[in-house]
Amino acid sequence: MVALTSADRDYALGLGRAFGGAILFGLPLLMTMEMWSLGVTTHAWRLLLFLVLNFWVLVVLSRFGGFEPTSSLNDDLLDALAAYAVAIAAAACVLALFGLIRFDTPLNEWVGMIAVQSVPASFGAMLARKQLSTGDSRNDEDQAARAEGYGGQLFLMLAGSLFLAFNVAPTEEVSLVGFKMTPWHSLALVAASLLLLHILVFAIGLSGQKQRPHGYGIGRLFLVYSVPGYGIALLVSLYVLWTFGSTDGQNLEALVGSTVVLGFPAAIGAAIARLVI
Amino acid sequence: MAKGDSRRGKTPLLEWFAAVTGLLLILSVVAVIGREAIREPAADTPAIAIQVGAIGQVADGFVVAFEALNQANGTAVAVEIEGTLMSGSSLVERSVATIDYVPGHGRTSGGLFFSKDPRKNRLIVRATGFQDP
Repeated sequence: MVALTSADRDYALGLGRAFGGAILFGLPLLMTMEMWSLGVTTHAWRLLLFLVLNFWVLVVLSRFGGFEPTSSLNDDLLDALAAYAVAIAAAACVLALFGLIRFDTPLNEWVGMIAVQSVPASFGAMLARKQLSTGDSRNDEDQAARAEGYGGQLFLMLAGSLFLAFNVAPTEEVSLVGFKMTPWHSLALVAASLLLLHILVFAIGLSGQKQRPHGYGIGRLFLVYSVPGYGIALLVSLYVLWTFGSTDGQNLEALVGSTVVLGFPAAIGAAIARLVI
Repeated sequence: MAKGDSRRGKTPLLEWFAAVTGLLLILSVVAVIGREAIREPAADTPAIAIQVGAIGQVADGFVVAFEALNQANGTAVAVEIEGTLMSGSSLVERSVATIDYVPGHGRTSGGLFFSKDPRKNRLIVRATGFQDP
């Protein structure tokens, strides 16, 4: 191994992959109309809080599946910053290519536009190593082992549901679907989300484990993974809705209704997080 | 599998905490929706009431802020809001705004522009129509 001399080259390669990952994960939202104005219409403090929280999710994510193997908090911080930087650059490039950012675009508009787009893109930048690299299975196993603890599993579910919820939440369809559904539809959706989450957790298994932990029957797996997983998906959904102002002016029933609607993709995100991360 | 051994035996506290929290969250969601399912069998026709807010001055005219309150549980989409300025029985000016939606028992706010001063005329703001979601 000529690791020392090629360390910088490897890092540059990692950044290149991160750029590709940022565009891959960010593209669906870069091409979603609602996202272009969200930077301006979102409550400034809520957006700021969201960006800070997203940064911390990236820091932890860096440990579990970042674009280069890390071993210290400093490394994780640096990688999270790098992922954000790459994401912002990627989002700015694509938005400029689409003609959405021009020289005469007001400062707060283009900054806001890039800020919201940097969230999904930063996930892509962070996960690019796992998704776009060809090998290095030793490190993969290493990172999988780190994510093996129960807290790590819950965190992966949170990251997965955050990503999928964020991908769906900006669209008008979330509230519209909520309005179309009767309370009975909502109850059925709660059951379906929980069931699907459980089937996926059971079928895909847990990160870094070929089979479920010893002594964990299907009932215990349900209580210890699927139930908290769906709880996390619901909380993440509510938080994302609040960030985008979709909770304002809604009564309790409508609020729970749209949380359940967004909770469906969030639950699937929680369940498949281990495949992606 | 050596690592598996440490997991056997007592359930870790965090697992209890997570399971109970998750269960509580799911049960409260089911409770809220279930109560609604039993109490309100079908969505009624939306009933939109308009509350006129502050009247402000803008570059070349005036703006009237309003809040549309839905007093029924049915949701209205594409709500047309019409504001008229009357002087006696003659129409001075008419202005229209469209609101994307007003959720059942929810509220949405907006504004109407006028070129004449709404404070010097009789102002009527009402919802003229909506679409079912």
